[in-house]
Amino acid sequence: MCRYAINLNNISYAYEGVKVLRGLSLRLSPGEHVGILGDSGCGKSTLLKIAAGLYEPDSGEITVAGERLPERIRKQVAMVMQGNCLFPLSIRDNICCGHEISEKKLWAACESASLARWIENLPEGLDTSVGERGCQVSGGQAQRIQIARAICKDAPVILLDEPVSSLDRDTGESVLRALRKLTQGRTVVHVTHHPETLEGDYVVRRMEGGRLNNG
Amino acid sequence: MGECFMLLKRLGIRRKYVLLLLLRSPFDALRTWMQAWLLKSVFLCLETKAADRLSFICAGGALLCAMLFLYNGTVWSIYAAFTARTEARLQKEMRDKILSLPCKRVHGRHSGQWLTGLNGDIQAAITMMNGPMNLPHGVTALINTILSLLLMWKDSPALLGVTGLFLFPHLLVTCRLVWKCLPGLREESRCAMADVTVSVRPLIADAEAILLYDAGGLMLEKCEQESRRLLMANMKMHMRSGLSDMICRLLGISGYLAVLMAGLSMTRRGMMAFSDVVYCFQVRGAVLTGIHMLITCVSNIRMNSVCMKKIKDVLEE
Amino acid sequence: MGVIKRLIRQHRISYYTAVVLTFSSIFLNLVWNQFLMELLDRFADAALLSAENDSLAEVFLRGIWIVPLHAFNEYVSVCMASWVCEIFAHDLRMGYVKYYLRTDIRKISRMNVGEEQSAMQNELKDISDYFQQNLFSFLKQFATFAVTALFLLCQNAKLALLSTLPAIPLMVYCYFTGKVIKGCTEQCQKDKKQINGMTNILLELFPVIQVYDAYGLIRHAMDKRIGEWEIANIRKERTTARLMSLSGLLSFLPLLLLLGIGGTMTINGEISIGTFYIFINLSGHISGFLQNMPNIYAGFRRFEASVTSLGEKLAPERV
Repeated sequence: MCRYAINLNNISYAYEGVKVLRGLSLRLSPGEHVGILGDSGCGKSTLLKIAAGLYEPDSGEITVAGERLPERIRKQVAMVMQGNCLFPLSIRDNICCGHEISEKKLWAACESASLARWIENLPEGLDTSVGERGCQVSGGQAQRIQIARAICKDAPVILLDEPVSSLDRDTGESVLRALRKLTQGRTVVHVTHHPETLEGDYVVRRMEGGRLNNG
Repeated sequence: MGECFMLLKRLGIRRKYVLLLLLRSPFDALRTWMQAWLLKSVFLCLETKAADRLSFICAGGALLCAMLFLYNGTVWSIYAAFTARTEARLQKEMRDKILSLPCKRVHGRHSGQWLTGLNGDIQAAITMMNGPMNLPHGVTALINTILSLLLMWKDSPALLGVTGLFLFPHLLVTCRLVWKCLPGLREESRCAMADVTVSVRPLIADAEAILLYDAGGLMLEKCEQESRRLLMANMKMHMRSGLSDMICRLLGISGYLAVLMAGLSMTRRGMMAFSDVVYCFQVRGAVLTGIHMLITCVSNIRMNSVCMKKIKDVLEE
Repeated sequence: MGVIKRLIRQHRISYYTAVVLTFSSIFLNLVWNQFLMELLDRFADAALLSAENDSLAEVFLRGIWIVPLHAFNEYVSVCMASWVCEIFAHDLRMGYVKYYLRTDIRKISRMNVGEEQSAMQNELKDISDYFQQNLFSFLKQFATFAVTALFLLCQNAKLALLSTLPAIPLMVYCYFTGKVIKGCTEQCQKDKKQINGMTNILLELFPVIQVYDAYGLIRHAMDKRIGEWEIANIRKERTTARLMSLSGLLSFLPLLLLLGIGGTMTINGEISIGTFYIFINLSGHISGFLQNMPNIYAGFRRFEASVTSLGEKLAPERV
């Protein structure tokens, strides 16, 4: 049994010939929360994608929740992204992603993501379409749908890629409250420009030159 | 069509355009008449066993044909050059106009929209003026139909009546079952195509989320649904087209047989010769082709008129 | 063209049913013409010889069933051919979807969504339009040509050959004409592209042009470009008009020859008046096909190039 929930060891990654990550290492115990700060283009998002098993590093080793293969790693990870990552389908489809999920679990996820009351007031409820690029829902609701999706996946590792950066202050606050429910008791990597969003027991690290320094 | 002439008036070339259009318009009618005359004369030679006359008629036909195509080639060439010059002029005038608009107005639309105006709308306007199945063919078809009806009336009003007996139901049924439904079906197909594009977009834009949440199956199913909807929407259109072909075969061939039988009865009573019946077949064919062509042209002209109006509006802004 | 072969293999029942229906439509057309030939022969006998000819009514009644059958077959044939084309287009769309789903995420993240979508839309539209307009249409044209040629050769080989041969130089003429017009069109498109590029810049730099009153500077260059394009466009339009008119004139030659030679043969009693009429009716299928062959071939090459360029994207059996 691996003692780390996330173990990135000496990871290097180049994008179109430019080295983005240079021998980066990161170890997180189960339930640990880490916040990563850094300038734009320093490789924060790339790090998350590698940790999520979306990209394979050029060199180095990755273990996430004891898994090494990208397709297995992806099963252990849920991610809330910065932009509007909603499919042009119904709210239900966006949360379940085509998997069998009980109504009870679905509504519980919506409740945790502070979506339930809003959905109840919609004429078509969970079957309401979010439109192309989620144009029929607000930015805050789109992020909450992403959070509900992550809750439903029930993965031990949560990756957050600037989840509130595109929202106004009040909406951001309410999304952060929903995020707290999602991240409780789970291992979290939260990438952001805004240190004020890293409340609570976050260990802050700064990313520079393709490596992680202590924040 | 009014938009076209108003725009041409604004450019000061309406009179020249109308003149060129009129010069082009008798071609189909003359060809119909020539072909019908040629066949009638040949069959008359067969009836009278006049082999010597036959070669003269064929030579005469070749000469007439050469003259007709020489005329058409000359007028068409002048006409085409005229529309090419008009296109360049429209390009210049539209560009000058756009650049004289206030900055706020120009940046109020995407550059792509202005480019569409400069390319797409002008192209549609020129297609209307010079393209196939548009204004020139429409006028040509109209004159061809009128002349063919007159020729048939002159040769045999009875056979014209028989033709009409089949032609009117043909047009009525096709109009009710096909032409009226097609614009709606086309729109349905267009919407379905747009939905397919929307459903494919997340495969590129949200590929990471799809991979992470293992949503490939869901997306595949949704894309399949949209693609099938497009398939069904297109099939509705094709089935209407098939219906149109069926009606055309059914009433077209029946009409042909009816003219043949009526022609036989009249021939036996000495009211007309076999060559006259052949002549009527030819002219009848021209009437049917002319009417179908006219309907297609009117539909295309209507579509292109919208672009013509857009150009006029920009120029008059 | 492996993709097309695979599609045919996957939907072989629908495809071959559509092929059979297309052939039956051609066959029924010939049966109709045969019926018309008989009818005209009886008609001519009755009309020219003033003979009491009861057999005309008999022929009429015997053959009238062809009309509804031919019409119904046409409907079923069009629907079936369209269904096959739509099924093929659907499979190609799904091939595209599966291609995106199996593409490496790093490659996808480098794609421009707008460009990719527009390319997909255009490529798929081109191919499905081509299917719809050409797949069975070519087959029908080719089969009509072959079967009609055979039918006419059986009726009278000499007349069939004499009326078809002039279409061969016409085919050569159309081939060269197509090349000349294509050259003119390409030149025109090249000039137009330059104008578009300049217009785009003009629109982007619009505020700068207004602030510095620089329009005069650019206008001169723009007018020059439009002038060049105008000359090329006029040349293209004139050339097309002249060449196409000559082509129209030349396409009349087979008919004139047929009228002259066929008429003489009819007078000499070598063929019946009905056969002569059917030759006039059907010879267009042969000369028309030969005349169109360069266009058909050019269209086919374009289609082949599109399919090849899409390559693995459209391999439906891979996923």
